[in-house]
Amino acid sequence: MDELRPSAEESERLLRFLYLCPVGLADFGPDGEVRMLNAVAAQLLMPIARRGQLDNLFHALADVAPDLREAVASYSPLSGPVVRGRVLHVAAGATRRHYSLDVIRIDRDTYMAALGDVTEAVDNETVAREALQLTAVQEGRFEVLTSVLHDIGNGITGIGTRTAMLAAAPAWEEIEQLDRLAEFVRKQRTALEPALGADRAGALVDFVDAVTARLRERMRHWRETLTFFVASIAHVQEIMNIQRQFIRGGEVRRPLAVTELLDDALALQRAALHKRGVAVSLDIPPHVPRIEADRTRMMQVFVNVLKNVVEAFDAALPAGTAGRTLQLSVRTVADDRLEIAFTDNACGFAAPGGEFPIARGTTTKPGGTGLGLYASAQIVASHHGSLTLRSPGPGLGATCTVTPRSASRPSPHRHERRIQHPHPDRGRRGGRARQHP
Amino acid sequence: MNFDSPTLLADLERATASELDDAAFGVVRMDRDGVVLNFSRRESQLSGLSPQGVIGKNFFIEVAPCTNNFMVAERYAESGDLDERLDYVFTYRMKPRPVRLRMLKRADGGNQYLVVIER
Repeated sequence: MDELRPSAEESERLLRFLYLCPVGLADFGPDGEVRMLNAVAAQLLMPIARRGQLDNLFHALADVAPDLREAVASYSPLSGPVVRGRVLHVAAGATRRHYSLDVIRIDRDTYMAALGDVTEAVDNETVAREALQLTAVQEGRFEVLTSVLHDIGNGITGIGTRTAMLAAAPAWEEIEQLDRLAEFVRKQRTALEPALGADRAGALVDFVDAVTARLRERMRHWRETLTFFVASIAHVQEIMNIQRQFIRGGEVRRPLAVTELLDDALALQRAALHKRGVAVSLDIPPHVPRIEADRTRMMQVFVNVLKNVVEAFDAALPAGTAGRTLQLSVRTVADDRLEIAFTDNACGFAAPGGEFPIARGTTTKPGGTGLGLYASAQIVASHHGSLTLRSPGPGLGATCTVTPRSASRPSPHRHERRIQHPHPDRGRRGGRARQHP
Repeated sequence: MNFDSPTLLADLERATASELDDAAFGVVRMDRDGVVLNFSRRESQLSGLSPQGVIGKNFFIEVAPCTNNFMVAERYAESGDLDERLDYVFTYRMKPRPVRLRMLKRADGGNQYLVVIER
């Protein structure tokens, strides 16, 4: 039997193994009395032990696990886990640490506790959880903001559309009718004088002229107000467009036919282009690849570019409207990239190297906000493309180039399909390199 | 040598290894990094660890991890003189044993000492 007894050396090795075990171990009875304890258990428990004693585990853990005695007492199986992976939050000196606690029942009167310092893991989990919560809060805010921007945007768009329609309405017919009435009364004055009397016939002519003049004044005021509204609404829309760039939620990117986008953008600006006598020509090859983009955002870009062209013609010297041109060209410049160029012969501009420095608040237009082009460039950049504006110099026109990323497959739509004529009287036509008056 | 002697640190610094073995309390002599230089006979009896098994090892990490916390090990790591008594629990032979520690070192160098007496 003696050979089965461990030698002194073996005993010391076993003792050292238990001393140096990196987990705190305690053997205790049903009343918490500690029978065996290894070094790491003492290391972890001493800073929290009451009275500096470790003779009873329930006492030692009373501040951080006051229910441990009850948990042990109420555990009825003769063996098995009593406490599993419980985390204890411990004040150790000036710092706060976290211990893990497991308790198993070995037999009727024997329990074993395993303690570990899991401070680093708990702290890492806390940081990760806080980061997740922060992300969730941020996403929630984005969602709310997206919804608000969407709803306001819809309202603003509706107001803008109605305002633009009012602004584009023909001159008030009532004024022309009154003019005709005044002219009629003047011509028939001789015939009217016997019936009305000379003074009254003259007064009638003066009255109609006065009403007409007053109406003309009111119409002028009305149009000034509408112009102010249109500019203000456009400003609000530009600001909202910029805000949308920071909130990508709700954006739907899918393959889009460039021809359709240009068609729709031209349709929205055709009245303005026609009014200024701008001839639009198209240079679009067949089988243009689609672009991977959000339709609403890219429409904002193209409409804004066309509005800039219109305003550039307004700023051109008053040399009549003859010879005003805008050419839209589309070409593939790389496997995954299209180049869409808007080239006009309007006022142009002077800039170092010929390229306009697109930045928030930078504009060449009197009264311009510098937001429209900036917002457009931001949209294109968010689609992995670029937007540039170049001019050979003042009076020499300009070219705005947009280079969106193309989708993998070429567009199945024929390029002629939906390009609309900017002239309101000529309906839909299309074709490559065709001139529009 | 007396556990409560005000000259204990000086007494320990003068003591040879065999004089440490004669002390009625346990004595661990360490260098400033905590490496064990002497492990007295009484300390060996209490812990069940032989001197040859612990000399040359880091006391706080490799010999008595129960002391590796802010109450003991970190006190030695602080600058300045150290002479403090502390009621503590050692786990000699896996049994919780209440002890009183006296932790000693000089700010200006030399070895450091942990003196242990049973409560």
